[in-house]
Amino acid sequence: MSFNFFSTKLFKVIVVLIIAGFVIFLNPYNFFNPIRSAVFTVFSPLQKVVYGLAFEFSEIKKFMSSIGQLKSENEKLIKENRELLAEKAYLGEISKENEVLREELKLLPREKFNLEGASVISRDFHGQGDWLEIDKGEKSGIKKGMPVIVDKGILVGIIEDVYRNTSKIFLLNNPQSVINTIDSKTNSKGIVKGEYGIGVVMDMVLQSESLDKGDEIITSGISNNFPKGLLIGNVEDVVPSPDRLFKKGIISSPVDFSSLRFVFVIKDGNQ
Amino acid sequence: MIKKEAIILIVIFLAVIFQMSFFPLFFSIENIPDFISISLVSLVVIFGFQNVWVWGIIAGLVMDIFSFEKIGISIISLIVSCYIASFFSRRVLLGEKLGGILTGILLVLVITFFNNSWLILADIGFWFQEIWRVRIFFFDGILWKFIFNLILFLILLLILKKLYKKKSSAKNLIIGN
Repeated sequence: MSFNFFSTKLFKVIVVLIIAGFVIFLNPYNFFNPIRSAVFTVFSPLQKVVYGLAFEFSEIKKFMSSIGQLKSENEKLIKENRELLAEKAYLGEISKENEVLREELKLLPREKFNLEGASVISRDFHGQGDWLEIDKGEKSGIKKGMPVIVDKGILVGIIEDVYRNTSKIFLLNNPQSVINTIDSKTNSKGIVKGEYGIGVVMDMVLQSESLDKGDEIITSGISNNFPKGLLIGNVEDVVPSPDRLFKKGIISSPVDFSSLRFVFVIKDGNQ
Repeated sequence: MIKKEAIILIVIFLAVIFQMSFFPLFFSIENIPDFISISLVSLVVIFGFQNVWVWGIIAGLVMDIFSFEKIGISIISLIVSCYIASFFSRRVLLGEKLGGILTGILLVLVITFFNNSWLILADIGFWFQEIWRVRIFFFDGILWKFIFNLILFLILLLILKKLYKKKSSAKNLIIGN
């Protein structure tokens, strides 16, 4: 029996590796978007059901592992805490707004947000857990770059890709999401972005500016689509940048990105 | 024949949806078991590389579509996993009880390590200089991920063996080639 290399496992694997490598290298990311869009249109209702079921099961699991009522009380407190944090950030900004010419700041009144509610249907399952997929897309007026919030104005991410019926959100801990922000107490400016192994950081803060532990970080309103005053989180730690030209704040978000089920997309942040 | 293939295709879609919409809510991000990859590895151990590799490519394609990855990332991850599994398959099934178990453990360890490394590299855009930043995150989760993968592998192997034995009770198990 003669040995035929072309029918061996190794040959098949090599061929697949070459073709797949070629596709990865040459193929632009958006080339397969029409196929993705079609697949998502067909399967997003099923994904929504599966995610919903998993969420309910995980809630049961959490409930079982907690001590009865403490669980629901805890949830209520977390929710209240989030609302209070957002409220505090908002009120802090309003008081400053009164001090420094209300007309100039023009904060977008929250009740005027045009929000689109959406359910999370899938999430990153490897890497950093830094993206989500929601069940609303082009059809609902979602566009790339729109901010995504939870509760009353806590920012969780930005719309990255939009398909007909679904969208992909880059969470704040994604290194590719960059948002202009300010420290609500000191007015120090910087950019919030994700960083590998750390989470969310506020970078590019000048050494001459003040950034302290516990300070609230909010959106500055400079970025496109982003209204001013959306809460991002609190400064957990402050470290100098490697070149010592800037400060970097490590931000802790009041939201647990891994247990989001519903989010809201702000469709007209620039109004 | 077409009916059988259509069923396998549907199972692949369902498995990918399960991996992406179900598991992430039960495990923290660094511990999520590699359901698709471990399922394919179990299939290779029972049915052999030649019977499974094409489904590995298809599963990889479906995973890349659903996970917004560049097409090809998961295909490479799964085909290499299948290839690695094909080396271990004979030993997992034919080895002495202890030897078989140890080989199975080693197989899952290698697969977990390979998948984690490859997918993290893909996640950071093959920017090798950045890998050190991910290292903490990488090693923190790998132990638990390996344990969950191992449990999944043993369950799947048990189910597949029983199913296969039932179907071909008169014949011996086909050992992976």
